[in-house]
Amino acid sequence: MEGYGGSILYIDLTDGSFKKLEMTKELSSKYLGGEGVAVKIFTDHVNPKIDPFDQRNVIVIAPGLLTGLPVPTASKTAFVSKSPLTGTIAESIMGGGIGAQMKAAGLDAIAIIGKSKNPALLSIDDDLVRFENASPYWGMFTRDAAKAIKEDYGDFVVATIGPAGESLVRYACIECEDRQAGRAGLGAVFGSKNLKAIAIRGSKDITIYDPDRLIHLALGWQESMEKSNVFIEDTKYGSGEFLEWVNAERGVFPTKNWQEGVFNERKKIDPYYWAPKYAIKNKACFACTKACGKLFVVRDGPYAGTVLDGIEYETLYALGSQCGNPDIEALARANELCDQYGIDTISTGVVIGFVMELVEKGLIDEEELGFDCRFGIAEAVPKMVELIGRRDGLGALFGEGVLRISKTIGRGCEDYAMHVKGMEPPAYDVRGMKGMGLGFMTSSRGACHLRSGFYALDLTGRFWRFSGVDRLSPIGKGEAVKLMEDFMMVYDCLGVCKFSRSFFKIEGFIELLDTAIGKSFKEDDLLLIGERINNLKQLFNLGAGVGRESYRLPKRITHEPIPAGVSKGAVLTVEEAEKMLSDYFIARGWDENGFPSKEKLAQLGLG
Amino acid sequence: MFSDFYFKIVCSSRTLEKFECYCKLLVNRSVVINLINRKSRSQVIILLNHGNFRYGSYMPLCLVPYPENCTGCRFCELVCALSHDKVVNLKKARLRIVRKDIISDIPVVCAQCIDQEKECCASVCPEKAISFDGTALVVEEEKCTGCGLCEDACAYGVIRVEGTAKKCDLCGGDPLCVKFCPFGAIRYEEMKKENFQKVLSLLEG
Repeated sequence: MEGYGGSILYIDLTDGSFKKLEMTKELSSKYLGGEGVAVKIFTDHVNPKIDPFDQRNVIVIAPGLLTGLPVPTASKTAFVSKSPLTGTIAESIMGGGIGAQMKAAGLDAIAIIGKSKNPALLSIDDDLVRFENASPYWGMFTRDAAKAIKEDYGDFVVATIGPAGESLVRYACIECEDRQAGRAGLGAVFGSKNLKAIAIRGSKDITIYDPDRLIHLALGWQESMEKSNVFIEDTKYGSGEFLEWVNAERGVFPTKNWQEGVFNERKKIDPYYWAPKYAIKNKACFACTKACGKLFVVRDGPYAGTVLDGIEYETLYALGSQCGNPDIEALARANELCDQYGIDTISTGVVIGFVMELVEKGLIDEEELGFDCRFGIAEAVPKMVELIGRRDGLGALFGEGVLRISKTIGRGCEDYAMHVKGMEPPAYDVRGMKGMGLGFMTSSRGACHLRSGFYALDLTGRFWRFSGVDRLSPIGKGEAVKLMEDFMMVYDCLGVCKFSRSFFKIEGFIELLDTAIGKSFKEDDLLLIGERINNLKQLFNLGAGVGRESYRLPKRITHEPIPAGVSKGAVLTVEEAEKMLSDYFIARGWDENGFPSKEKLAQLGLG
Repeated sequence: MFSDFYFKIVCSSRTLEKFECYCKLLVNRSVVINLINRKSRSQVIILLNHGNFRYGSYMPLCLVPYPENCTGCRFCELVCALSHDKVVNLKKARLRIVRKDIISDIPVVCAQCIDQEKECCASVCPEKAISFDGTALVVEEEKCTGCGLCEDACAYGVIRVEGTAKKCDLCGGDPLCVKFCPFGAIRYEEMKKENFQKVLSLLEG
């Protein structure tokens, strides 16, 4: 099949066996690739009621349909499993080159079940599948492990967990080529299977329906991308380029565990300040010619020697404003430690900020913690990352995520444990962005900005089919969030970076798909596929017991208005949240508890 | 862009060394006459343009790597292979990007070993199948026996044998890889030896 690798590999770590099945035309036409294919394989094989650390949990890896092909920014590979953090089905999308190597080895998906008796390295070298002993690498930081594996085995691309995944930190991530499958703790799923890393290399041809035309189209997209403002800003300053604007013009930058919506000391964590000083060059995800990553190097001071690919917008919030931390070097070191231990920067940062508030309110004993840990104490941030990464002392509890921390500590702190469905929220204060607030509620993996991408509509008022969006109004958001979720799912299936969505929208893919795989989709066909997958995920979540009550927003969002700034006074009430949710369920064709109707399932071929 | 109207005359005289003469008719109706001495790799270009002519000698352009700018995206490899071999396959690219570690992404390109100071594909080929065509060192397929001596000789590891030898041909003078590199990690310009030396030392390093 043109554009595809051709096979799906099923791995059982318990007995070290594997089998290969064909990637079918049906899977391709109904699920495309990437997250779609991964979700389909996952839901076919996993009972929604199992514990995420149960060896019957499966983790599925699938490159996007366009990943590995010369389409600018088609870099993404999806990881799908049951999340140890949220107990929901969860995907985690990463830009490292593992997916392209999968395709080059003839694979469109890898599904891994079971648990290895000893630490395992799964090695795939074209058709050669091997279960290697990973004991020499167990305990290593992610970068060290990848380097050591490459030294021992050759020029493979390696995706690995760090010590945090090994010790089952619930928001542990998977690292590949300085990029992460960051959210939802899928690194801990690897850890629970005693799987340290996957090393893949392939040399097979991937055929294309019309090679010369694909190059011609790619050239066109490249030229128009390079002229755009998005390109100029992203390549110069990275994803944090709009940080000042979010603070000054919208006042929705969560600060000090969401006590505030503006970070007054943001000057030095703004890339306009730090990029000229610390960024050496740009770094890219696989096949992305819009490289928005930065090689960030700290040369002197207490954190000299810090080197990382960063620093992203989300991390500038999580390890910055969320902790009241104005020190970019301490932030950078904390980011580097997250990458090396292998934990999600967003969840880590929200946990740290939560702990800081607990310390300030006397619910956590600073003596027991061992160091000063209050808002604004910069050194505390990297120290906390180490504590969590090593599951040291109180770090063991912190590694469970804010929901479980709040349940353990109690005494009313649940009111400001920031999460939805157990997932810590990203850098958009939804009190002043109500559509995004709905998006946090409805996202299948908990508080996430990328499932719907609604933040763009809230912040700018318009995107794609939408205009005149009022971020402070709860009206009409149900329909809009539903459509945006289906839109974004198309990106996760094709493996195209969501930062390119203002270029391609959906219609941009029509010609690309026709040229790459010789198949004609209409815009609505692609959106229907997105809708199908979102429904499949919902069915799994319902089976896992994720009911309407799980969609609730934290009390700080529904009861404490933003105190200052452009969005002063903004709050997202329970009434507004419930109304938006009901509108959303209607737009989805689900009942008021989120169960898809028979008609909807039939329409999507899931009946 | 050049049109395809192009012919080659080999001429020699007692006073001039053996020169090859390539005439190209350009789309704007200029005529470029390249006189190339293969031994010394020197060239004289005569450009006839609407009745005026200019001439001069110049160094042929080649891909020059700037590793300090490489983001490691590997898009250049993808388009190279797709354009030449009509398939997506990083291993078939005629250049390679080495992602060494978080700091180093190294673009390894064909140096069109212009001065042949050291052993290179063209100098070791027993069939003399690799020679300069006015733009790049190219493989004449009919002469290539697939012996692989070129692969062994290449200091950069950018020529491979698949049936016959496959190498960078600078896409006839309009290299595709350069078009997809907005960061200038690969540029099409006059040879800079120090850049290639840097690449070799980074690879060893």
